[in-house]
Amino acid sequence: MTSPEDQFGGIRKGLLEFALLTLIGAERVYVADILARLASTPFATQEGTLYPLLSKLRREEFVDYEWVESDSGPPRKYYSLTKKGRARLGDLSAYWKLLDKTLQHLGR
Amino acid sequence: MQRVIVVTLSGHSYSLAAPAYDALSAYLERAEFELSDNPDKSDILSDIEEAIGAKCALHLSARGDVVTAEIMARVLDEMGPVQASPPDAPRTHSTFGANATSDPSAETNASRKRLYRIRDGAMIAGVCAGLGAYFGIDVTVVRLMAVALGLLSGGGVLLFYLLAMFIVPSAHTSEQWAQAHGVAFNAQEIIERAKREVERVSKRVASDWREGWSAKARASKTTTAGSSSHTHSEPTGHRARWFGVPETWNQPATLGPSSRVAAGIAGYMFGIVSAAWFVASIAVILVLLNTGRLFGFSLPPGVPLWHVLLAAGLVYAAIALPLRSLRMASYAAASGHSFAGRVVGEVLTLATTVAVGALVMIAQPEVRVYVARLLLTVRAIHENVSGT
Repeated sequence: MTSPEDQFGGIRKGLLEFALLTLIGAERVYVADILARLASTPFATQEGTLYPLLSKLRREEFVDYEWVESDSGPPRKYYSLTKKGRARLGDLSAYWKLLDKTLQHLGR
Repeated sequence: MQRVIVVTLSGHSYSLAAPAYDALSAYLERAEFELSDNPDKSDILSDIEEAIGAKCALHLSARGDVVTAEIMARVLDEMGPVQASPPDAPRTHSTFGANATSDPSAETNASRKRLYRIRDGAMIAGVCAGLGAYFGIDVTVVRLMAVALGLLSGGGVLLFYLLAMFIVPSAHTSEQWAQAHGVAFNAQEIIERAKREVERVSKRVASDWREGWSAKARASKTTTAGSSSHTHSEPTGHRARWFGVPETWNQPATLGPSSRVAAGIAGYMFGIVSAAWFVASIAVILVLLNTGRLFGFSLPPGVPLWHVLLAAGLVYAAIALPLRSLRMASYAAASGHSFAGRVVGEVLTLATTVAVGALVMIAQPEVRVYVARLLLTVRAIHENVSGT
């Protein structure tokens, strides 16, 4: 029998983008922040996956970054949601709530 | 003593031990390949280099100033493999899922199974994994079959594998691939590609020609025209007439040196034609598996695929076997020995395989990465043994 983690492996992968938008939507973050915040969650990921995903979100104009000087080390790219990204996050949350509600409803 | 290579990662210099450098190059080359379609490739790569540099610095502060293979291995492990992000458009269908629509008149091509290479957990380039997924067989079984066939067929399976690497597109996950490249990969493009490869291989073979030519001329001088050559040259003449080749090849037994050379060249030509036919047939079969279409025509919906494959195999054999006999007969006529001709034929097959292999090395980055990894492993073993 496959574990719940395996069962939902593909879904988790697909949800990563949603999770990322949610995280970036809450506050301005840079990559190390994101990785640290996700590390203890089921959405734990690595640079190899995160950088391409962030670049895709930027290409789609959902997120943007700005360089911020740091006290320790080189300047960092801080990511934040664009207007379009916020609208996207709203759409995704709404649909996710619909899925959740449907599942709850089915169990009744 | 250890060799140290200094590299610059986003403005900072790091000293890497040679194995660490190799590991990093392999990782970055792989990343570059993975991102080859990505418009932000250089941005992402520089971000990744910076992250690697930062991680190295973190691990270095504790001990020494040279990044060892162990540190690099840990750093790259933390980075994780660079994966192309999923396609932007929503997915509409599963690629490997069997076509479950009940309406046979519906356009089935979109949901028909397609053959891909699957590089997740691949040993080399994922051809076996792709075939396994396509036919619903365990990968291990496919690999075992490949090895068994490889032992039986000499270079044949190797050639097939190399061709498949060229021709079959790779899917990181099958769905991603379908969205990213589904339309671009059609029969026409494949036939063009296969043609180009054949041309390149032929050119390379042609440059080796003079050498083989003189070797054969020497061989023909040393063998005497005995009764054995009589029996072998007889069928040559027969087939050659049927093929419409010059009358000189039709002479039995007492062939002069020049005629023998001509027969040798003819054999070589048949060899090239055979190779081209093999390449073309494999290309056609792979395209058929991948798209379910052939030269723009889709298969009639009622015909099972294995019927088509069987037919394709028969057509291949119907042309390949006479070609083989022609080739063998030509060599036999050239050398006066059927055995010698056979050896020359096998050597040529091997040479062609090696040539194709070299071309693949040049053209496919992932093969280079694989070879680099192989070298790393060898070096690691060597270092363990010699205790350095």
